[in-house]
Amino acid sequence: MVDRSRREFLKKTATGAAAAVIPFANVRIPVIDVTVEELLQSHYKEMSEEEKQRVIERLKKEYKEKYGIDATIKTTPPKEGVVWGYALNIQKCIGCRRCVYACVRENNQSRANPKEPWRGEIQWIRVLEFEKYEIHPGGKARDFRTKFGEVLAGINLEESEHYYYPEQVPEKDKFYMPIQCQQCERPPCVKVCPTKATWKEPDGIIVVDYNWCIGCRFCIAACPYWARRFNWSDPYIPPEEINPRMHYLGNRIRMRGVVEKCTFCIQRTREGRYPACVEICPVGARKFGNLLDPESDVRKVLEKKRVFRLKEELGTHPKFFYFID
Amino acid sequence: MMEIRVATGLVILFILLSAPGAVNAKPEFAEKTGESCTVCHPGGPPELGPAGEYYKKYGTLEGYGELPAGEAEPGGRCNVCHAQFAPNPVPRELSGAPTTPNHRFELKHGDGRFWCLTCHNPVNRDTLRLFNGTEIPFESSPLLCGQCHGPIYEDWKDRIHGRWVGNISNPTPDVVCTDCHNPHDPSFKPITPEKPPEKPPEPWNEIPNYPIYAFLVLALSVLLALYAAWR
Repeated sequence: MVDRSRREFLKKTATGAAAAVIPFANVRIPVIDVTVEELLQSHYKEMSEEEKQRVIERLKKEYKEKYGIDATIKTTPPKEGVVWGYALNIQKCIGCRRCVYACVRENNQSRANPKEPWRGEIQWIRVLEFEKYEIHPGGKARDFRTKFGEVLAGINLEESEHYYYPEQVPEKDKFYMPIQCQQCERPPCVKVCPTKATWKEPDGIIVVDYNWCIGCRFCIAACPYWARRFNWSDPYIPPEEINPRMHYLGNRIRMRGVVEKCTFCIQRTREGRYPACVEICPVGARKFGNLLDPESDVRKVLEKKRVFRLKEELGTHPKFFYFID
Repeated sequence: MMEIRVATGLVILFILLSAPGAVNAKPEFAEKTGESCTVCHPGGPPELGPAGEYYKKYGTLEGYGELPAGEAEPGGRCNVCHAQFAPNPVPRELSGAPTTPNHRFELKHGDGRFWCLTCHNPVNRDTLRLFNGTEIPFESSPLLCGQCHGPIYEDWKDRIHGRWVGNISNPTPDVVCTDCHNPHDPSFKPITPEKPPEKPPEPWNEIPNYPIYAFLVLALSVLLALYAAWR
């Protein structure tokens, strides 16, 4: 038997409480530094269209006050019959980092603060540089050596450098491998989130509702690809560098204490445009498209090229493919 | 004998001096640019070709070889000069050819088996020519490159090679082969990388009195270990 009286009591109490809070909606709570309205905001997936509009209006006002910009914040839903996939040609990549900074500008990532450069800087793409082993026959004497000694050759994927800064790239005997969110089909970061602030959208993109993120960073620990970044401090973005074309789940300006990540430029791709990193790549190493469309760029790569996925053995099934010619 | 030579020289000098424009223009032009006369006077002096007009207007040939904004592809001007000469199919050093646009470069394509007329049309220099003799405009250069680089051309058509922009479901090529690869020296040239991410500071630079703390922690661990061993 359902206890109707109790259910109704709870319902009425909740409605009453919500109504009582309305006059205090704009009051900013000290210490945690959020408004009452922000604190009581629903999860993105549970919001009605009116609620979304209300939140967007609030954010627009906030950005106008704080940065003096007129932002457009969209909530474009995923398209039917689309699952995004990405392919990166590691044979072509020259490690120039153009993608890193195109991503930073497009997605309003926190820049290096001139006062404390290392504290606030966030970059979603990290380019790793690998060194090729030289062949040194007869180096170490081991029991299982051939008559040529131990011949070490090839590359070592365990040792990489991401602070490299030569005058010109590519360097001789080096190769480069950019890593970013792999948009796993079975994402461990989503599994561990205690507030369900991060989830997989129907078009395969893992997104974060920044207002529901409590900053526990479990997802950062769970991600095997080093793809998530945490806002340790208030983001530092010069107002003239802010990209005003935003998506609620993508490049809207984040706050201190939340986690962010690559969304395949959700604000672009949901409107049919290529991600910023794909458009900027000077060697055309980055390919993007709909995995369900046999004629898309990515499907052509999967059909014609030798493809591998990073840490395939973990069973995360990334939708980010590396390939060689 | 000597007298005849001197006399001939004087006659030549007189002829040159009687054409004052040519004598005045040549040294100044040669000093400034190191070019030959035919650059400005493709049909012979005193008529000016487009390069001559450019020089007259700006006093320099700098920027002449570059494409003016709005002109999509090169190849619109070659015939201005080349229509005057009969094509010479013999591969040779182009030491007398103008450098604006540059004709005197080292061809680093085809491992020495190529020559200008491998790709450029000998009969109409404003176009390119395929192996089967078909004349194609400069804009269609991928057809020409695809004759040797078949698999890459196929990849380009499938949008795996090169850069494509526009709508994801219907992209257009942002660039064709020759926009990224100089056809006379096609290997991709190294470029300057963007700066690396900021390195977090080392703790001993960041925390004041770090060595003291480090020593205390170490000493405590040693004492604990000794105590554990003694018990």
